[in-house]
Amino acid sequence: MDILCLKKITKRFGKEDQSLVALDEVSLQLPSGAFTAIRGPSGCGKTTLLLTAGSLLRPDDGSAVVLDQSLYAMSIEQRAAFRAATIGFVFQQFHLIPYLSVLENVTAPLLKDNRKAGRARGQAMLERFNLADHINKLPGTLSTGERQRVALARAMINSPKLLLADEPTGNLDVENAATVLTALADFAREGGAVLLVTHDAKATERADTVMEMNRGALL
Amino acid sequence: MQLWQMVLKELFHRKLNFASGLISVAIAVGCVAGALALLAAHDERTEAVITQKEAETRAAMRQMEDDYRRIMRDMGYNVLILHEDQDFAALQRAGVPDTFLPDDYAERLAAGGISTLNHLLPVLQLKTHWDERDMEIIVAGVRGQVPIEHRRRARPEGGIGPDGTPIMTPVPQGTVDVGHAIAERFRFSEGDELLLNGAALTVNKVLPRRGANEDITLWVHLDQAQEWFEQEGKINGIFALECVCHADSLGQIVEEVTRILPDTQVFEFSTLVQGRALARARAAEAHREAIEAERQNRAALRREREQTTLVLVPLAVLGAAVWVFLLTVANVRERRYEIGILRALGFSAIKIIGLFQLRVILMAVIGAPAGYVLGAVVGASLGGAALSGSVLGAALHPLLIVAAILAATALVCVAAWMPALRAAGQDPAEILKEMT
Repeated sequence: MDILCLKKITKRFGKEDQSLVALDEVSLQLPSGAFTAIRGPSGCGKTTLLLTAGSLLRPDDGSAVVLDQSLYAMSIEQRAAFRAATIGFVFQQFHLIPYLSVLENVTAPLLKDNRKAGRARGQAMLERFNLADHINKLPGTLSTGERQRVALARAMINSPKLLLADEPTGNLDVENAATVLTALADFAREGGAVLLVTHDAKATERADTVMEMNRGALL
Repeated sequence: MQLWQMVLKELFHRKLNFASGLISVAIAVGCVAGALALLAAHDERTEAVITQKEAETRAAMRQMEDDYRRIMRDMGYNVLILHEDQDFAALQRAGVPDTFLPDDYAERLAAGGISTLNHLLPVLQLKTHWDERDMEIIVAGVRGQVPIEHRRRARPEGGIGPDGTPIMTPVPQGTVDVGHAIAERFRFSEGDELLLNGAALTVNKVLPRRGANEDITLWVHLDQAQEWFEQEGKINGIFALECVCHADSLGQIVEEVTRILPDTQVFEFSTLVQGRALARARAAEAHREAIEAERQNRAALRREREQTTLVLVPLAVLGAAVWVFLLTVANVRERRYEIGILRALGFSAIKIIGLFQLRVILMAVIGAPAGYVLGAVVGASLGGAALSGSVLGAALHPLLIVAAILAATALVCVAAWMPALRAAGQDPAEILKEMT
């Protein structure tokens, strides 16, 4: 069973006569264990593809299915719940919540869960990313690499099946970038699927499959 | 992590925004509580002022009543009870009545429960020529005032009682009380001896000037007068002091006296009585007017305060609502990326709304009671109520404080609803694209 299945996804922005085609009949399948990287220049549609696959951006045409669930057949709130349970996001800017501690940032997606259990899960996740000493620190006090690892831990706290990463190593040094890529590869090896978009060829080295994208189309 | 924990963390992160909203809620609730306490304190103060004024008036009137009673007593009798056949013209001509009554009439009047008269003095008055001094005089026989027992018992507290000090004291046998004009003419003084109808009498006392027939009267014991004028068992009048001081009291007196003594009539020295009644009525009216003026002043002040609060309270409430709305708009704008991330992490729209609504609810829950207590204390103080008084006790009733919290909560929830809804409705894809 594919974790992610995109079929002929088309997305346009702007009015019809002057619209810009951001995704042009993109089809993609990610089975369990897949680590797929999509490489392309800025503005080629990588982030649009990621948001569409992440149930955040409704395509104009085509279908997006995750774990046999058609994403855009669901209501907004159903999609939010599905996203929380199934999909993890990692961004280039990390986007940690500044007033929450490292542990609180990681456990933020666990609003419904038991507080004690959630805390234990968060601590375990932080230990996995070598952040056990920083659990009570605020994100502003961490290094760039540490912050990205916190973001990665937050993306994985709900044990998602699909991890969507948008330039996750863009702000990192070589060592931290390697740590992040290793974590993504491990996630795929453990049965998840990773879709990584980047313009950096080096970041694609750990991926099983690398695809090129240009002007909204996969080449 | 729980939603409320996130809210608390955010509050401490953006203290100024939260504190400013909290203060605006406290001010609005404080204005409402202050206005209520101010008006309640005003009413209590008004009640106290009017009660005090009324007490002062009552005391002044009681004092005046005593003063009048003393003055009237000193002025002498103002009512004369005569036989029903007595002709007034003849009385004016002769200066003394020429019809007679049984000498127990005064006792019957006293025993009959008379309430409109006091100081009953049965008298036998006759005009005669004083041979020893060759002078026309009036001889009056008296036995002393007749006690009115039921009136003694009804003596009012704090005032001199009716029938307390007699106007005319009894004249002992063998003595004479001398009218002022006679004493002045013959230079009589207490203890002197004089002859009257051949009887040697000792001057008991010289009476003060009255400016009336009493000044040319010799007062002797009633038995002596009855014997001289061969009127044993008879009197020809009962002097009395009117004690009901209404301008139309004569009618009451006549009714009461003739009920007890049907064959009598009442003659009133009206100028004295009416002067007393009018002065008393005038004073009472002045006091009533003073109280009414005070009442009017307090009512005007209340209207003024009501009008001020009618403007101030809605302004404060509206101001707080607008301020909370603007603060929430600013907060939503500031947290735009955070909202995008939370939506991407699976936060539902309800949870996003909850983040903002819980925030303002905390403003109300903390700000409302603080503002309420402060407003009530300030309002009660401005209204002149004591801080430990009943006004403050009533204003700080727990149910009212709970009601204030609930009302403030409803207000801030409404004020923050649109911005919170807007936050929840933001397109996370749009935000995340901006972020990359």
